[in-house]
Amino acid sequence: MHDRLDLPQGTLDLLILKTVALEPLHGWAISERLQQISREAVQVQQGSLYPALHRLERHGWIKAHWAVTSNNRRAKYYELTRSGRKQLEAETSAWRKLATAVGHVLNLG
Amino acid sequence: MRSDFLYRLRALFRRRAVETELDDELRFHLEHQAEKYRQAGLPPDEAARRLRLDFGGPDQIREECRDALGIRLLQDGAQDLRYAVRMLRRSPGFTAVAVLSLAVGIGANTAIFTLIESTLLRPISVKHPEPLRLLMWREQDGGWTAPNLGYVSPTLGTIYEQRMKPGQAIMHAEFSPPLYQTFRRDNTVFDPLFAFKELGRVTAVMDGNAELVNCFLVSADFYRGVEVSPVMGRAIGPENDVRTPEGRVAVISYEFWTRRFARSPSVIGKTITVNDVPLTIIGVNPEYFTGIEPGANFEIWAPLNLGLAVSGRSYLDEARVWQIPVMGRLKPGVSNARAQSEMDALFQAQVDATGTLVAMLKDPAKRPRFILQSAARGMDYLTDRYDRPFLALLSLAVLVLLIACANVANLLLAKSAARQREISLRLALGAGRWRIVRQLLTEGLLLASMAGVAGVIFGYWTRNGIPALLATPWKPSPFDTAFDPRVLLAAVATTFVTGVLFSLAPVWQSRRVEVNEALKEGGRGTVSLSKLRIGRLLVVLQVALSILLLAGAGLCVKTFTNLRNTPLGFRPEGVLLFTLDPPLLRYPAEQIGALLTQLQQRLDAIPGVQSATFSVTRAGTRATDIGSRFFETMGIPILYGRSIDEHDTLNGPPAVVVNQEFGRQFFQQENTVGKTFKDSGNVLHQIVGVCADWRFERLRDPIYPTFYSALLQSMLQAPRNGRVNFELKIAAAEASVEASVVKQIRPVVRSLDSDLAVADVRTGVQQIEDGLSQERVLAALAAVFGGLALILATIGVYGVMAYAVARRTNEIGIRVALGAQPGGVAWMVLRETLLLAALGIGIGVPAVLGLSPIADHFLAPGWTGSFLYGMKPNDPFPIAVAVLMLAAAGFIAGYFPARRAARVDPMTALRHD
Repeated sequence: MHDRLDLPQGTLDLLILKTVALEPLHGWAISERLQQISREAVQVQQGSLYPALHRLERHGWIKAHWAVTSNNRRAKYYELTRSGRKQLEAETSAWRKLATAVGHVLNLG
Repeated sequence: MRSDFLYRLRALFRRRAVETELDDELRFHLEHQAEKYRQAGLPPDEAARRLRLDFGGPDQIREECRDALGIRLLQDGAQDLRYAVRMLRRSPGFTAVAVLSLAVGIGANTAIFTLIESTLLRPISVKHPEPLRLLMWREQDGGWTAPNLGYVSPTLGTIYEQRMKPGQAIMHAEFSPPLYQTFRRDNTVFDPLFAFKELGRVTAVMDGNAELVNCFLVSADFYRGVEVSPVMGRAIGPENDVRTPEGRVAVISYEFWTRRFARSPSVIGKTITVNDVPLTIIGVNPEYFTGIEPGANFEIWAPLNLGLAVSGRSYLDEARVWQIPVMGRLKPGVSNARAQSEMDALFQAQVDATGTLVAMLKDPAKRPRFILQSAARGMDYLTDRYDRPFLALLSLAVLVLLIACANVANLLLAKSAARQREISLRLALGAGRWRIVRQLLTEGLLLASMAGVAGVIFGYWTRNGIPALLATPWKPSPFDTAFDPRVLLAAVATTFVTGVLFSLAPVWQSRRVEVNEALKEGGRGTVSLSKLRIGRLLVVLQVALSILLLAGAGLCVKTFTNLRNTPLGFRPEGVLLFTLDPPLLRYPAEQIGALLTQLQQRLDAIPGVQSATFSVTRAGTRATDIGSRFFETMGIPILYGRSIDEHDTLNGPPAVVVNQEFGRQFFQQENTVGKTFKDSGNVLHQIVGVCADWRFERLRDPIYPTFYSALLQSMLQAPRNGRVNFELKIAAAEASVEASVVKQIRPVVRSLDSDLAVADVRTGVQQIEDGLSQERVLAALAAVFGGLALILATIGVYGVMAYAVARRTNEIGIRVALGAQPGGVAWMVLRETLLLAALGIGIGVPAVLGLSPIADHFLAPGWTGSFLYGMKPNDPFPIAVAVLMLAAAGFIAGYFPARRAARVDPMTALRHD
């Protein structure tokens, strides 16, 4: 646990969008998936997930609906909207640019 | 953006549901996570610990989620509002004054905007007026013009001419029959193209009852063009626009159907006799359709081809008569530019074909121009007549509102200065500056909303005031003051703008509050004086605006009284007038004399009538045909020679009476008895008498040279346009005598011919007053608004000074303790007040001098260059009165604070803090 990274400001939104881009997921699944695909390297404070989800929903980037899970529980599923997809693309390319630029600077040193 | 707002609204109003969902969601997560730890083999207490570590406190998360939901702003807003309500309730006096003064301002604007909306903005009542175009042409200044022009609306009485001011081009909306036919035949851009003609008043007889109604003639395609279909029966169509019996049909208005036929379905097929022409009723217009002339109502709609039979006038037959208005509905997809260029080509070719004034047509600067105009307002007589006075009224009302705003801003400023300690405390406790600004804005908007509601109610009550002052008592009013949603929208916008406007001052001031400084001062500092600077600026502004309003009111009132005091040259008191329209078919030229003389004798016999006479104005001339004893009845002195009497008949030598101006202009002397002259019809007249110059209807016009001939002699040559005026002189100008005579008029006329309808019964005084209605409204409203401005300015000055004295009690106490005399202290305060007033006057007077000539020119009626009558825009008298009134107001407003200052007891004042 000690070698996990804290998430840089603003990147949580991007990761959530990416996670729900494939299929609709409920909150717990999103948190699980985030940890899996980041190979347990990223520390997502599970509590901060929900405010982020609600914020994204308010922006209209994801939308939510209640559905029944495989073991017959009601859960709130989130999925990407059309404008969410655009946002994801924009944020992904912005992130790539930033990462490349930071990489360049570090290589110079 | 919209979804964002909806999301927040849901979060706010379905709070319970949203919270439950949130709880469900979090619980679901926690259970799954716990399950996961259990499967990983963690003991329960360790799992619970890890869970809390991962997740954080549930309450904290809920709060963060609420933030993310975006209801924080709205919750804060509600809190601001509650706080604002509390603030306003704590000072009811301030709230009352602020709300009242704003309500008056908003109310005045609402009432006037109601009038503007209904009179000048509302489109005609057809379903799709957008593609409708009115065909017009512009006569260049001094350029080519068409023969026999002039479209006088018999109902609204205005010549359809736009901006007929010196040096400006004139617009015409009428065309000749060949042009109308060419347009109809050759155009490819309109479907359909249709013509119409307002016939005006006609005598309609149904079931033996005669009534004067308004008649509108329409061409074959009119109903298709305006897309109106009757609620019952059928519309006038191509089969009806003929001169065979199929053309003797009429469609009646819904209002007429209700009034005269009690909405009976059997009205279809009934016969209605219009000016002695029997017409079959074939349809009833829908209720919403009142025609294509805003402000006018027509009971009877008949085919255009009936014009000749019903009125004796021909619009469709003579190539040299330009009298037909034409409208068209643009075909879908046809641009305005294309239609304009195609119609222009047709128009120009036809103008060349008239062969008149050919030399002018060769000069491009003198050729007429064809113009397509939007017909969303139809044939719009109202705009031309009322746009300028109404805009003037609106600007006056806006000025009042601005003054009220300044007043409220000032009051708020004084209050917020007192709240500086509170504001700095809130800042110190960590409130954002934006939050403070929002609080102040909320208070302002709350005040404005209260005033807005009161103002709309006030405006709704008073919305009929101006129409009542403007309308002619004996005619239907052209104003419809039904409340429109647009008016409400405008009121809401006004309210919002004023709210923001007067909140700006305290907001601006709060910007400068320094946390530490204000707290240190203990809320009662010496800095308050410099902080009142905005307040003083506002007071100066108020005074300046008030000068503007008061001087304007003075100019309007003076113009009105000048007009009323214009010598008339006759006595309108005790004169009764009414009108008859004897149909030409029944009363051709050779019989009209007998009818009128007989009627004159019977009217003479009514008890209370001293003498009766009649007169007919000849169309298009300054000649009047009169009955015997005309001058005696009207009380116009005969200066030389004799009057027209009962001996001036066809058997006697032709005799005319002229006015003084006639002699001055044509014979260079006033006494022209015995002279002869020829009129434009080459008829020789001999002058037998000279009457004093007099005027009746247009008091602003100069006296024109006029001659009066005996109708019994001239009726055969002079073209008559139908309308006959009767004048009765009654024995005593008392209401009771007047009323008993009026009651007798109708039976007397009916005893002679039961199909003759009496119209426009009025007194001579009413007639003159009616000619002054616009001036009266402007004078009355400007005076009321000026008075309001004066009161508001006085309150404003008083408020600022009273506040300043209250804040300076300390300082004044020290001054008195150090030996200042009460008189000196009082003078110090009073001097400051007078200085503020003087500054305002110093700004206001040049503003008046600069603006009044512009306003005067703007309001000038018709072709006169000036609205003011009997004075110049820079007339010193009204300006001086305004200055004196405001100086007095300043003195009164300053007197009470000054007296208070003089009575400050140094001991109390110093202990006070």
